[in-house]
Amino acid sequence: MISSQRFGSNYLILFLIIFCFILIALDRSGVATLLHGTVVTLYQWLLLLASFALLFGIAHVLVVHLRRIQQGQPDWTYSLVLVTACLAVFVAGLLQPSGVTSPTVEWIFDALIAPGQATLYALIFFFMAAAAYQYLRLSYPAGRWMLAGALIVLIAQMPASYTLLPAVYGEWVGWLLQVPVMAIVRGAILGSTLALLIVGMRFLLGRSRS
Amino acid sequence: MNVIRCSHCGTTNRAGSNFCNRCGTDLRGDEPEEQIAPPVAPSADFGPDPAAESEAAPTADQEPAEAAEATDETESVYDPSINLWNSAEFAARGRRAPPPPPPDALADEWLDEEDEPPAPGPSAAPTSRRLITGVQGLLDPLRIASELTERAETQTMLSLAAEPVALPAEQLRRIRTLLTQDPVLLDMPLASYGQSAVRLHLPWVLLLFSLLIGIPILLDVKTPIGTPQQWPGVAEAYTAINALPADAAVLLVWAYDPATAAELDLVALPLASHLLERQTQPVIISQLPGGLAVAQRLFDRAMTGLQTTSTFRLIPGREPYLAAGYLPGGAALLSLVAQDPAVALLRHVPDLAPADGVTQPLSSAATTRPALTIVVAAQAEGVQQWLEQGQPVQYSPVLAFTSAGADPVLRPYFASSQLSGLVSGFDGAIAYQQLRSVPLAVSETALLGRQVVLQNWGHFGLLLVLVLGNLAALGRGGRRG
Repeated sequence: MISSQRFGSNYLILFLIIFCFILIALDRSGVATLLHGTVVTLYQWLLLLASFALLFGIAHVLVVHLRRIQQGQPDWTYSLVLVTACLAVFVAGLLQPSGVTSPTVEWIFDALIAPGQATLYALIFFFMAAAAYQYLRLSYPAGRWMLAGALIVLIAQMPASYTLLPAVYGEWVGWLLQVPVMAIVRGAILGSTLALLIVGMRFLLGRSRS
Repeated sequence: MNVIRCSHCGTTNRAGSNFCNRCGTDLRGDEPEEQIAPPVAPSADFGPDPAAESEAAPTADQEPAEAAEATDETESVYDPSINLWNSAEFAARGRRAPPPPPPDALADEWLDEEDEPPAPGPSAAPTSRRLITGVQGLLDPLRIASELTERAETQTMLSLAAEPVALPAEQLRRIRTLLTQDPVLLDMPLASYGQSAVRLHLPWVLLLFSLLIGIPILLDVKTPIGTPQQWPGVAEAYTAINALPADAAVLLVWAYDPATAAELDLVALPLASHLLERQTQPVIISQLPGGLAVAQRLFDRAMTGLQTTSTFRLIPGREPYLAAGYLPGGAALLSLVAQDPAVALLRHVPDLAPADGVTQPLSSAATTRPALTIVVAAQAEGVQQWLEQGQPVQYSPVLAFTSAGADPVLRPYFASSQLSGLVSGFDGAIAYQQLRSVPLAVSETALLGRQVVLQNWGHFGLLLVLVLGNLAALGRGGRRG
């Protein structure tokens, strides 16, 4: 059951959303050019809010992990590593006058952040291979189609295959991408957009049961 | 009166019920039985008062007599028939593990971390650390307190949440069916997967896969290099950039960070080199924390390469590119960037200075519509966001330089002319570079060629994985996948 106070705040949020939507829609459609300044101000508020939210999020992460360390919760050592790394980068940026372009921060980015992110992303390749091994099977009804699609695209995208396969194969794959695949992708984009619109409207009107 | 007792939660249901009224378990195969005692409706459907229960529950330190006495006291407060799964009869059936005690009891237990949890006694409720079991957590709204001060409010909300939701019987039946049964597509039962025999081979397959990638890297294998495919969109992108006049403002939306830099750096390198060669004024923004740093490093690489392979010289007094700023706030702010870059970038960026040495503030240099907007993105969403939020209010032509994975999603945008050019993957980068007269640095060209070789090996590995997976499945007969 929703309390009357929460019900009222929901309506207030809904009213603000609709109000902003009308302002931006009028500005975008060119109906009310006088509103342009107001809309730009709204965007500036968004920028400020986003910046504040970012700082607030960092502070919140620090508080949560400091509390975990203080209470000795399970895996508190990971929290210690996180807090230490965060403070170290922050202090390194503050102490040197060039800030984020200081040699220490640049070294941290080049030697730690960039390889770390790339390593984690590269692991996706192995997840993908494991998923392909287990699910792209001829014995699965949907797997046959997915397997056929994966094989066609893999062979077409392999640079070495262009010298081994006839040129007509490349043209055929190009036609596949341009005609049926494009039609399906457009249908999927249109369908998902309509679905998102309907779900959003149901949510705004309070018709969704979540 | 005949009833059916749910094997999952112990709730008694009317004879003839298809599903349990509480958890939705399928009851169609269960035999009805004679009800021993009429069930007493529990208050708020959440069982007894946990405080009283914890006081009455005997602990392990108590003597058996005390435990029995405590059990007698419990009976006045807590009737096992309310929750049938707590009865000895139900436990003796041994069909499934009994569900957890009422959520409010557990919530209190979690709230009072300093209190000792009640030890299980002869008639004590079975303890469990799970707050939600089955599907009742999905059907019945639960409020889990996170602070001690929420205790009183929690009790109130739990009692309020117990009010039944008025749903049509047919809708309720469908929801229960959805939540209790695995979905079946087109009435064709999916072949069972995940058999241990197949899974056992997966580590070996991944090892083989790793060797196929790792050995060419370690041994610096040079073959097979093949020929990159000339996809549509590359020549259009080259023509658009090549037609830019000197000093033309180009807005670069940088939507990748170090995670995907291994591929996207090589895709964007010919672009950066071409923009510098044309003496344009690239203004770079990014909505990723590491995006600007990646862009700066790439432009520096491109500048170094240009200075070694051509007669390119920097214009004195003018920055070759402008790392304008990191913009938090998501896709909505792209609209502000498109409408008024100086406002979006807060004017804290260094001024642009044209070739004649006259300082030109950003507000007048970049507020004017850029000649071209280029989105360099690892995911298709990065390009889609600009096309939805930025282009409708800016009207500049848009080019996209993306990963190979984003290509199929973005093809429709290129075909419908929303994108004026599309360059994706190593293929696209090589094809783009082949159109240019100025070569990349020798090391960059070698790196690009090496990536193409590794791409061949990676594709070969994936093809091998697919073949092995299907051979493994076929070797086990048709019933397995």
